[in-house]
Amino acid sequence: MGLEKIISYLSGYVEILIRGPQPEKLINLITGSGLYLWHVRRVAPGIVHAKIRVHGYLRIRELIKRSGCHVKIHRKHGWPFLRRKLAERRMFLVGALLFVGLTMYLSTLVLFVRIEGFEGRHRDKLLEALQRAGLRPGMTRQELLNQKRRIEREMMLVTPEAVWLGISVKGVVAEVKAVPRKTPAAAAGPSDLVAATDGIVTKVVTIRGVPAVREGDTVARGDLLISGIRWHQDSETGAMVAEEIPAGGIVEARVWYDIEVIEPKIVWKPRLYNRQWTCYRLRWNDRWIPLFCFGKKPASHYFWERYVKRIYPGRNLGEGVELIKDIYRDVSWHQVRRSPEDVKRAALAETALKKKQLKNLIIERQMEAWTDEGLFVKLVTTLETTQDIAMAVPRRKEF
Amino acid sequence: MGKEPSIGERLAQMLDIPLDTTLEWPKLELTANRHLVVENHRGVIEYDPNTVRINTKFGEVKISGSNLSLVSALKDEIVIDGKINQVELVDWR
Repeated sequence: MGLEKIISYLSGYVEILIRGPQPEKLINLITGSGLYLWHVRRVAPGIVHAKIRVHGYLRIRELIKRSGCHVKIHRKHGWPFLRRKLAERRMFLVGALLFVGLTMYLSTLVLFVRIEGFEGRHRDKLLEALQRAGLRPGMTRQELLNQKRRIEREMMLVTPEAVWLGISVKGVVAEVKAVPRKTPAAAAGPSDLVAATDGIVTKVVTIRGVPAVREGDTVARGDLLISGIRWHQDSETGAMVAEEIPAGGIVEARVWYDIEVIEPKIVWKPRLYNRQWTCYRLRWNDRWIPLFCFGKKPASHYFWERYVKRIYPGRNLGEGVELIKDIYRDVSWHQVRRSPEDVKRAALAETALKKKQLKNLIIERQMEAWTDEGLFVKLVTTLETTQDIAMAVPRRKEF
Repeated sequence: MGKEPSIGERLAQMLDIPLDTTLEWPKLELTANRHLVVENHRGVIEYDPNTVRINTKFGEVKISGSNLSLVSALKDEIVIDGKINQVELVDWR
């Protein structure tokens, strides 16, 4: 059927209206002579509508006379008619061709540069650096793909704030993904090393500067560990002269972290019922368009769930249409007294969760202290570790 | 007593050849009550949205229904679409 339609379109076809006392006679004459008629339907008494190919229509004139019917062309379809129409509207054709050509040309260009990972000042700086390196809107995709490695290498050299940077091309968008450095880059000017946290110093290795602490000292956060100063004798006067330098070294200390968790013995728990109210809405920026709701609205207490689906986000990160489904389920709340085992298990689980947030920490010792505080149970977990606590800060003049 | 089968018919049955292709017997193919294909017909006798009458070698096929239309009409095949209520073989020999 699909092939028939294609052939009909390419060869051209017409919709005809057959009027007469016996349209069936003409239908039989047409089909009997080997021609193809389709979509034959009676539209009014004595009027039959049908479709026939153009070359067939040219051959049925004799048959029309023999049947005694009148045939009128209702509409013309297909490529031959379209071609004739286009030939008459040359500027339209030129415009359409130009449009297609322009679209194809524009799709070979990079039209947008999107940066992920950097915000504000760093983003603007990275954008400028990318433009200097050759990545700018208007360059071809092929050109960017050829120079991708070079631009990435150059960007890594000129962007110390990034630990990794990658460029990918998605359609007409060049996506630059940068992973910002968590720790600040080494200070270029004179600097001191100070304690990043409280602890007892276990090891001091000085590379540059003068150590201000010894092993066994107790330090508090912000205390000076290694001073960014170097003493040397003036060759002319013979006096000792202080020179400011960026301090360097490792100061390891025993450090303790406390994780405090409070778990209630009595908790409120919801009891969900099957009765629910479901609402569908569309959101476009700040506009809310209600679609339809069904079910019964909960009278007082309800449990609310929201499901959000973005409809074709495209490259619009911030804006776009969202389909929102809200479910309000009837709920009643009741108090539940938890068993001591449950409370303990919950406290330990929360402690484990908080412990996971202390990344790159090698725990040497762990102590737990449980306290019963009436309706609550308190757990304080102390973690002991040894780590480098030195942190570079610009040199302070008062030292 | 039924009519004796012709030589051609007997030969086709013996050789397992479909009768509609060799002897141009009419073939009706009905899909649910929506689509009917009539092969080896001998023309349309009457057509309107409620009734289509088609002539065949053996007699008339009368199709009754509603919104009936001839989806395609060729020399040896007619396709009818619509809601078909009844297919009747009228005066078949």
